[in-house]
Amino acid sequence: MSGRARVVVVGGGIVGCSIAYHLAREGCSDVILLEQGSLTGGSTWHAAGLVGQLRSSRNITRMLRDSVELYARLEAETGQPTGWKASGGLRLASTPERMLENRRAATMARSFGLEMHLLSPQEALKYFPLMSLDGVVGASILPSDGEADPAQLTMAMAKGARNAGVRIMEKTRARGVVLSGRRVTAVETAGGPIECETLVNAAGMWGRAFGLMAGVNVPLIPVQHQYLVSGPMPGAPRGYATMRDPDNLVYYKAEGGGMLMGGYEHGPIPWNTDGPPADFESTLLEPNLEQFEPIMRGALLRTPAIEPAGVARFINGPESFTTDGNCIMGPAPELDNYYVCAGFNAFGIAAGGGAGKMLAEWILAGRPELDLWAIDIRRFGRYHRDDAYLVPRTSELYGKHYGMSWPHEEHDSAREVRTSPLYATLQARRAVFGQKFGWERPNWFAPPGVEPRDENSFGKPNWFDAVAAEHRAIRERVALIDMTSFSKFEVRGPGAFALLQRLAANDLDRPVGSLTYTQLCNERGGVECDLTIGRLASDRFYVVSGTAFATHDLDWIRRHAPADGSVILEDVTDTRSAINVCGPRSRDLLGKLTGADLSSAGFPFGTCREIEVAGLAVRALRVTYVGELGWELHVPVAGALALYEALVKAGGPLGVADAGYRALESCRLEKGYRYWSAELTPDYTPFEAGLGFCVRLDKGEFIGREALVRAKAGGPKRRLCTFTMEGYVPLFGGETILADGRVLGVLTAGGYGHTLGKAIAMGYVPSAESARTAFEIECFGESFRAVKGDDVLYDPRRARILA
Amino acid sequence: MKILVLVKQVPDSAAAIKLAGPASIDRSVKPVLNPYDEIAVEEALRIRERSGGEVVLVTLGPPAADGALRAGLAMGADRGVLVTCDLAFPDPRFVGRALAAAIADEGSAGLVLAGLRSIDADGSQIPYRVAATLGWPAVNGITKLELSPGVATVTREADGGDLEILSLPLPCVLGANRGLNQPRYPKLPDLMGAKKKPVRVVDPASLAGVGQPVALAVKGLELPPPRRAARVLEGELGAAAVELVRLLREEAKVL
Amino acid sequence: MSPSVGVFLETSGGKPRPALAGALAAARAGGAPVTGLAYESEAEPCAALLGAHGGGRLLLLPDETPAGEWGAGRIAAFLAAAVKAEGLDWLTGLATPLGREVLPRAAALLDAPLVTDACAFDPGAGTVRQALYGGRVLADLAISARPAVVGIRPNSIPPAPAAGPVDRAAFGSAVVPDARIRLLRVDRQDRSGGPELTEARVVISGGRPMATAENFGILSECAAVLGAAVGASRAAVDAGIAPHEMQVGLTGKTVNPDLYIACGISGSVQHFAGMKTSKVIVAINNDSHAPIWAKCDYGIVADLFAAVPALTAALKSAAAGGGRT
Repeated sequence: MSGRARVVVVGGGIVGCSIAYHLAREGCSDVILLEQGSLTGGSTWHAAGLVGQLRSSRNITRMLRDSVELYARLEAETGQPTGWKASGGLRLASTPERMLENRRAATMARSFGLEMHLLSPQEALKYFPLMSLDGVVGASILPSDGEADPAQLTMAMAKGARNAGVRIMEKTRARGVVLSGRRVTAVETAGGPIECETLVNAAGMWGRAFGLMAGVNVPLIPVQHQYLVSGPMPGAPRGYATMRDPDNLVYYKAEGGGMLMGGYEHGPIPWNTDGPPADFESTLLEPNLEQFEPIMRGALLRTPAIEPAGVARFINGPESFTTDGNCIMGPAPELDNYYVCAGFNAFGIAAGGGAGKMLAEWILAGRPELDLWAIDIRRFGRYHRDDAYLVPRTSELYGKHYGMSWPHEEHDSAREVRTSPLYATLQARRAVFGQKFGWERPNWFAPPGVEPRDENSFGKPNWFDAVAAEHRAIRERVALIDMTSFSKFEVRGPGAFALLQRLAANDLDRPVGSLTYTQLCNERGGVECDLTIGRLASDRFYVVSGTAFATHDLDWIRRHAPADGSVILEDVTDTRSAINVCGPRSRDLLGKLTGADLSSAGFPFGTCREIEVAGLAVRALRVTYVGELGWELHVPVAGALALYEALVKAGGPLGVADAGYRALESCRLEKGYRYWSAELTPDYTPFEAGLGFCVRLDKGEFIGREALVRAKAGGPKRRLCTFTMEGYVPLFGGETILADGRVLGVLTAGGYGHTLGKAIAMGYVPSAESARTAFEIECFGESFRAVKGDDVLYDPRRARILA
Repeated sequence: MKILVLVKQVPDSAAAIKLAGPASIDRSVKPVLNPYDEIAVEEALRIRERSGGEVVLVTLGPPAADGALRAGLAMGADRGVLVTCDLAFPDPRFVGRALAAAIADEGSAGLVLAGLRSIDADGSQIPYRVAATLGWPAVNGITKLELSPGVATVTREADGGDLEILSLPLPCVLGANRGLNQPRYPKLPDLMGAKKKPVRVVDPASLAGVGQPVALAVKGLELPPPRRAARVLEGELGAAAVELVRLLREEAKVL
Repeated sequence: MSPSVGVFLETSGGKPRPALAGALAAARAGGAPVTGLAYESEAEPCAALLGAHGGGRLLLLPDETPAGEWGAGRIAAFLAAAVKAEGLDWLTGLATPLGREVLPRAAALLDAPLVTDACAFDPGAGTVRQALYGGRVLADLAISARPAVVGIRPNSIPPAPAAGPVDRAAFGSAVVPDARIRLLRVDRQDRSGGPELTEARVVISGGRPMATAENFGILSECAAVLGAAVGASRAAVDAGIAPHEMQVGLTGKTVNPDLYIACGISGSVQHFAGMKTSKVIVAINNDSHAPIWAKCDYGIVADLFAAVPALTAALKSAAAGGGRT
């Protein structure tokens, strides 16, 4: 039996069935779902079934709300029960920091439109009577959270899908994939090939191995996860809220007269990291009591009633986990018609409904309804293929699941994956590194006497003063920032200009040597990439983008590039280091090492030149992200260290200092510079982001032009604003913006401007509100007065930059 | 009173059994404490709760068989004895001798409890063999037990559903059937503490009268044929029901 | 030399169990005449059975059981004594509840090997086949020691009727049961309520389509005819129409019956985990796409509210038409 379908979904767990259901619902029922064994036979069938909606990103939270909305109506729609109950989600705090985290979550929930209340310990008892309040500081309740039966939910969606014409084939393993160039043409099964236009990998724990068959990287690994079902607890109320007590590592759900109790321990046990054996389905692992002990101890403390009830059932089942705790969704960059939806970190039941909806939309409309960068498959790099990175980092994140999620938190495992040539030298100069996209990057430099280590807290960080000093060095003297990690591409060939001109909103038809700051937009005018493009030759361009966006940006450009060989696209990130020499004395410093004309006449702002610095051939970009006079020196890696040492030596008398990314952030906030994935996302047009000056509607056709014409004519519905607050306010992004108590939006970024001496934040508010200047920003449940000011708070006339 | 409970580690009834060769089983299947032995352990614990004493679990098997001991210890038993034997299919006559010798070696047992049968071999023979070797009386399949000084009064279900009430002197060997009690769920602290309770490992060669381990002569093992596709009965409901009953009787032989 | 086989001719209500025909067929395969073992008071029907299945010797034990003596203990002692006195190579019987009591007891007295529940037996070759692990594996064993004891699973060996002469004799040797075991009394038992779920050989379960707790009554009626226990799916329990004690599945009970009838149960992996070792699975479900269809042996696609009563009726008329074993 061979066949064909417009979409083939591989994997019959809750995610695969949800995708099939939603595709059909949106009118695409020419779908075949392949399940190697029985539906739900992977992780779904033994999932605990808790459904919690609040995540750290608004859009992911919205995706989970979609799940809840779907689960509530599924039974009526399909006639198949789901076991869905909005029993509520109670989250305990057993430390003051945890309560702060709860406050922050409540603020976020409010901004996401989710009802969530903070509770005293006594109030919490009403939602979950069977607990001891020993150590409980407070709690929060999300009334619309709940629980469901994973198998029934999946069956209901499968039924809905089938009723709409989707073909579901169980006991049918996808054994292989047939490729033709960058396209999947068919999936191989024992019964013959099934042709498809689009393939979806929803294969859960088998997703990584299945992805490899097509050369697609799906960086998830199975990890053992355990829970128990207690014996009956006489006198237990009939139903109560689901409960999480992260400080004690435990979660609970009412189950059959007793309770279901599970948790997340530190040091979890990854299992079959290449994926389970083919015949593993519908199977559990042996309980590991010793591994579960810390969780048992937490349970004995929090719910002493579980002791006499005893353990009726112990379940150890593997589930898929990822390196950052978020799932993996979207179009795989390796191919043109391959989507992934897997790696749900044990919240697959909460996410399944909404994720299926999002992915169906992504397939049918070409993009998801909302910006989903946090779970986008293109956030991964090549280093995510390596077990040496994947296994320890996933284990660390699993163990941190119930840890505090500190602002600016860095992880300890799998470090030094990608290092710049300056790494050892900067380390010796007391750099405190963080990791981004695998790169070690200096976050700040510890002055003598200060321990070079981040101390996690919600208050003023231990590096505040050090960063202030670096900030001052940038603004008053000259600083060196290692920006080697920035993504760099070359786009060249006879078709290169036409391609980039068609993708960019700004006009790239400028002379060789020009640098253009531009956004690449999608059809709706939303911002897909935020780039600096240097024209090295009429048919050769040097593109610089943020560190973490290499896979994503390359994918966007490649998808639109012609297939006739007229454009060559090359990732040259690893070939060059970038040293940012910035500050009012930067010309003086550079002038000591180069004979090139650095004057504004000879080397205007916004241009790039190949010059010699300290005897090395350097591509110098006169551009800035800190808002000062300066150059980014893009030097081949072989010469980076020598260049840096020359700069340090020559800069001594000029007061040169090292600066890190946290100082960079402080400076850019003062300048109102935008950052893709925060201020700039596919959800907003450049106009809404205040980047109208980068949009040249008159330059000719480009992707998104029509939408932008309409947007300009209609006026932006939302506006990105910059706010300041007096003194230091612990802002990290995601805090709620209010006016007169009305929720208007959330912060895209927040920090402190050391020159201004104020807290600075950015966020979108409805245009109607953007005229006012007085706002409130809610942070940890407290309201702070915020003033909306100009976008550019420091040197708005750019005198410093253009010096 | 010192109560000894014979326990056996068996494969979980829900696990798939795989063959590791023409006459051997893949022994990595998830092991559990034999459900009938759980009932015996529970009874021993209740006796200890009523009148004090010690509950000692005795098992025969490879070192990995201590899982059954740990499960029983997690229910609350005091300690365990593991008589080592690495045979996959030991001869029950040898097993009976070895367990009886271990019991004698323990000394001063007031009562020996066991499960009616094990869910793997399903022979129901060990209680009788152990008793015969020790020279003690045995009754298997009890659903009620009352102890008075020196005497056990037990109930067992006879053929036809009648209840026989029997008495026999202590020490004796009693096999527990379902209905004797409802085994307790292990408590979390006991689960955590089980691994610390003492388990004495005994080489049967060191016990008197046991002799060499003897295995059953297993000539071949076969997995039953996999389920074939379902036979769906169609047509008029009454006739289909009659046909179903006929198939269940004559073809499937389950009625 | 052909092995001599003794067969315990177990009776119920004064009549030998019809399934003994199969045991006799196996015993005769050894070639030597068979020795039937029975109570004197049941000599006639036992002789008739023996005579219709190859004939042989019939050793009869006098019935008088002293007061306080336990009948099963007496039988076991008789069987062991008969084996010793007659030098029998094999002792067989049926693996009925009584057989499972007396055969192991006799084997222990004889220190003889025992296979309690065999589905095939060749006394000539000295081989036995039995199911292990609740039926998940079939094992062929060779038994070399003599005497050896084999309990035969009822209806597993086809009968081989053949007329033959029966030579009756009173059993003259001493039969000394264990006098330490005393029978105090026999009580009648109230058999209502059915077998316990995890113990039952037949289970009939209902799912969410049962709709109300009252409706489970139609399953109870069927169960009464089958001698079955009644179970429920998780969906039914979640909906409050069945108590958690009845739940079969991953977070409920695990059952291992010979026959599992699933009524209005979709057959999710979670449910299947609790009953997948059932020997035979029957589905009654009006959703022809439910997963259970890939996992059952027989079924009827129909509304359970019509199909279950139809099944109950068919079972009742089959029972009335004559039973087996």
